[in-house]
Amino acid sequence: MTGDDTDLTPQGAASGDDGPDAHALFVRLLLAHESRVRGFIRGLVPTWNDVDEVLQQASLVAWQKFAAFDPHTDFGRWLMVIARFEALKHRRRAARGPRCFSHETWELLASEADPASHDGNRIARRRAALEECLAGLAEHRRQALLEAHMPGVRIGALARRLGQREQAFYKTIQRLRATLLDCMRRRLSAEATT
Amino acid sequence: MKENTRPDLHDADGGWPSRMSAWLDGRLDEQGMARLDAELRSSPAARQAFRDWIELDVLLNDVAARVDADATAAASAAATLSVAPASVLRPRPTRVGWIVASTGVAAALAAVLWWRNEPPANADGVPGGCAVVGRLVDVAVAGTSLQPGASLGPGLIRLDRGLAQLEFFSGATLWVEGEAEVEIISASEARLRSGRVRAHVPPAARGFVVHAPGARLVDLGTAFGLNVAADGSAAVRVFDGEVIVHPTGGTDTRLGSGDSLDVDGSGHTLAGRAPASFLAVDEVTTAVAGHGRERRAAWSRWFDEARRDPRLVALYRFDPPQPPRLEGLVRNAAEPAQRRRDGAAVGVTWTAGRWPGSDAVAFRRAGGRVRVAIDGEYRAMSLACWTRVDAVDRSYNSLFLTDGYDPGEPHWQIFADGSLMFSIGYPLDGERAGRHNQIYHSRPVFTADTLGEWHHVAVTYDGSSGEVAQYFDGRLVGREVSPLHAPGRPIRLGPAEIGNWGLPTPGHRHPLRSLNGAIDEFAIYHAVLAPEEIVKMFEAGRVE
Repeated sequence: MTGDDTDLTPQGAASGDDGPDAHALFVRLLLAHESRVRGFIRGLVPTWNDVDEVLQQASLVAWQKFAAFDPHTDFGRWLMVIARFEALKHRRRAARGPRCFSHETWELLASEADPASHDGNRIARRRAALEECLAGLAEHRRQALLEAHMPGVRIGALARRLGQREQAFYKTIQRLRATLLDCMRRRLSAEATT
Repeated sequence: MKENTRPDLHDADGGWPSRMSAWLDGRLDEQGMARLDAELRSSPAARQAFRDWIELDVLLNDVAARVDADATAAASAAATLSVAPASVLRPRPTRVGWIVASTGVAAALAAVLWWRNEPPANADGVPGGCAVVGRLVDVAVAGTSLQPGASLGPGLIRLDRGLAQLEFFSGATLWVEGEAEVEIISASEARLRSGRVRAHVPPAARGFVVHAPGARLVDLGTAFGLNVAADGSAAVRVFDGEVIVHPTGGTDTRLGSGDSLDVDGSGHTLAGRAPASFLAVDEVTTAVAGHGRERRAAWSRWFDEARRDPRLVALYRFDPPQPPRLEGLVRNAAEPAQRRRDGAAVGVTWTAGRWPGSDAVAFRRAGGRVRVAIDGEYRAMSLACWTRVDAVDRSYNSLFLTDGYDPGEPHWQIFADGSLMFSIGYPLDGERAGRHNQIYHSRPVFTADTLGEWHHVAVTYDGSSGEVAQYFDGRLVGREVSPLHAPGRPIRLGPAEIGNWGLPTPGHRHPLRSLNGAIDEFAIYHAVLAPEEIVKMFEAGRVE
């Protein structure tokens, strides 16, 4: 499938002006591709806060350069090129934290992320698979895992609230994630047809 | 680690999953980091696994944010939310808001953005809200627009004309008559800057507060009217129940049924004023009924013309069967009459349609369906209907599915993420259906704000270009050409169902596809309808 930005008339961007059409088009494209680009950036920076920072910067740059964007091409891919550069700048700026990859590894991760693998249908299929796999977990496990993924939740605090030792609880979360990944892999490979 | 091998799942440090998890959570120590780095550097398989883990993290965060949002909304909305519980897989509240703000184009965008009516997000990106928009009669709003069913956060609403019903999450209802300025402060508090309102406050919403320029009104139950004039003076009349008025410049006054009070803009009680004209019940009901009649008459005129459209294959209106109801006949209303395309309703219930007194077909039970049989081969197709989706609770939710999934048969459904999904399959010889299906998704349209309300959906498919256009309330929400398309292949329908899947492909993993909701007016055309025609259909059929 092609990207989900093809519902947009190209004239707005082609003119390259700052009229409301270009604004609308830009934000619509941004909305359509945000999720995909966030996933891409997440692999290049250590935390979600870094992701937001890089995405914000990349969006700004993209807006400034929007007149140069060819609306017949893939906006997500274009934004990812910018995001990659911004992530690199971010990496240079940030002190070499303990969770930064070596330059070589980073380059490999950045260049291999395949934008085509982020198309809408694929993500929708993965979401559906995740939903089914989540449904297969015991209720209390599913809840614990989702709580651990809620914005701003600290695993230590969550473990205490659930009356568990942090280490043991964290192990459970790790195992649940691995279980889900396995389950999704199985489902997706079985899903040759739909 | 060897090149191209999967990362080691069970080494001494707890293995790859443990390292990956710890990296994502920022808990990986220096030693683990060095090891992960080496694994990723040396093994493409490790890097692929790394991407899978990140994707899982993104997806889980999305799901969790939504569950969180549901819980928050449920807690704040108490029992007044008319929105049905949605699946956990609603689209994530977007974080693009701050990006828009930061690019400095927010103001210019306000007029054109399609998400302008979505509830404002709080710091966590969780949709918040104080009230929902109820009925609207001939409303014009300055700045933004109001849509029935949309959530409203704190903010000012300037009604240029018309009558708007605001249903606060506390249970109170405000009818506002334009021209008026109303500020929503919270689920139980509002301010009238100018104009006329009528407040209805049931026992559950006791304590609802309305501010006027010179006074604060606390409703202890039932109904009152409030007018604020251009000079800031306010007139209150309690129709029923009790209201305490706290003038800023005077002593509290308790008003009972039939009592009124005038207060000037600085909070001084005014005596001897001529009785004000408050927004009366019959003004509201007359306006609502009159508006409904007008809209329905406009729709009737459109329908009489539309049913004679030569491009129509079938048009179903879903009038309930007449007594003695021995069969669930669903008439094909297209003219000239083609009785062979009449449908049959099975296991459905009849529910209130879009108009007062009109009917629609509701698919609540898993067995509910409307069966049709459509003969012929086509080169293009448009499908359109009104639907009230109560919940997106299956992976695939049927709007229109042919029995099975044979070559050239279209399937039109709502996908788990709330997107409209149109697909048509042309399997190669000897191959099972699936791999060569042209699948088209719109952006997600069935979300918390749109569930439980009537919406118009449409899709057009051009068999020669392979282009699909999808519409939601007349707006284009997806347009795409499938790379799998080959021109000139025919479209067939045959036996098919509205609202369910009659004959799932044997062994299919998702056989249950019944719609949780209702459908009204289902049209099938053998041509690509133009965007203007879809808009016209929506405009003619919308109630508000």
